Amino acid sequence: MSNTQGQATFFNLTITLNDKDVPVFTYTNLDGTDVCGNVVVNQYSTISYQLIDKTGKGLKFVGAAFTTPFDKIIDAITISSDGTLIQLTDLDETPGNTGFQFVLSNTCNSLQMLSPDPQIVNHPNH
Amino acid sequence: MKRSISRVFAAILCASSMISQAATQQEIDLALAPVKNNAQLQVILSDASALDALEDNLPLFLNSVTYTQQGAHDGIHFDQSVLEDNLTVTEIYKILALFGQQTNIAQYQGAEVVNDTDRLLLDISTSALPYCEAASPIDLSVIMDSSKQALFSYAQNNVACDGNVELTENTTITYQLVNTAESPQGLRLTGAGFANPFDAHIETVTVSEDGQAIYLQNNIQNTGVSKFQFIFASDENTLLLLSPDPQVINRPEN
Repeated sequence: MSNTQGQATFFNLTITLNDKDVPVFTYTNLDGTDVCGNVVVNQYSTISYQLIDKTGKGLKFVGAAFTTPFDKIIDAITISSDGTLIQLTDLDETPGNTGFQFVLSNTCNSLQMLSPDPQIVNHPNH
Repeated sequence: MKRSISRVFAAILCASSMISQAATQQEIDLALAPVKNNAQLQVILSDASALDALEDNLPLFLNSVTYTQQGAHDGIHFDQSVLEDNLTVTEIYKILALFGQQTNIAQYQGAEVVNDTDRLLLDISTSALPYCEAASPIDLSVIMDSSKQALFSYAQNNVACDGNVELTENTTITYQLVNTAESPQGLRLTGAGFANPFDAHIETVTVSEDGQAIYLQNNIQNTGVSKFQFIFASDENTLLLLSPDPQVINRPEN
């Protein structure tokens, strides 16, 4: 789990299919080192995930979904027009943990793909 | 592979048993209910009863009660929100028991929980619910409790079910959203999410233009369990809401 002091955190999210066609999610830093994708936030932050689709299924981000989207741990979600970059805005005003799952569309069928859940932890400094 | 098959088989056995048990219990509850028609309700009102918990809201509740002839007894319907907004789970359970509808307590996820009995009633009722039937639309209700947690419940023809469906043939399953004053503002379905959208247990997902209904088409040739989560957007913020996972079981008839 990386400890974020600055305003921006960036991950690459690579999705592949294993030999049984089951999607596999891998998070890496910009330098390519593996991370789990979880984040601890101490101040206002944006957390960005760049999609690297190696499934051949035409994946695109359509959102980030929460079982508790109204708890204000994460305040807003924005997605690039081409669906390859998703950004979570965290004002860090509400302490607590939140789990979420990325939602991705594909070009092969009308079902949407859910990631296993990365986690955001808000630890306000004040 | 062997493990996967036996797990599906266990789920099927369990489902059949649960459906018949729940149906039998509902029949027993209805047969033994103290209130089966308006005359019996008036008798109950003439003395102290579980309805006293409604206090000033009792007239509101009574005004919402309607009767429809269903076989040997009247089908009794009423405004659930009057109970849910004003009473604890236990108080509601006692009132539902007057009408033989206590197995519907799972539809009152937004009711006040103040003790272990309240928690137990909701836990047991949710885990003991029967599967939903694919033959008719499944009502999907989402409400927010006082701590802004989303609570999900499923029902068909006003009878609670657990949201899961077991299929023996190719079918289109319809879930329709039932929004209430307690639902997130502007709640609408945007899709169904799968950990593996390529296993073809469910082949097509369609959402109505207004986001108030979602249709899932299975392929019965692909035997097994498909778990998915409904995905919702709302006017509350830009985050998506995920449901806990209902599941569809494909079990071809041999």
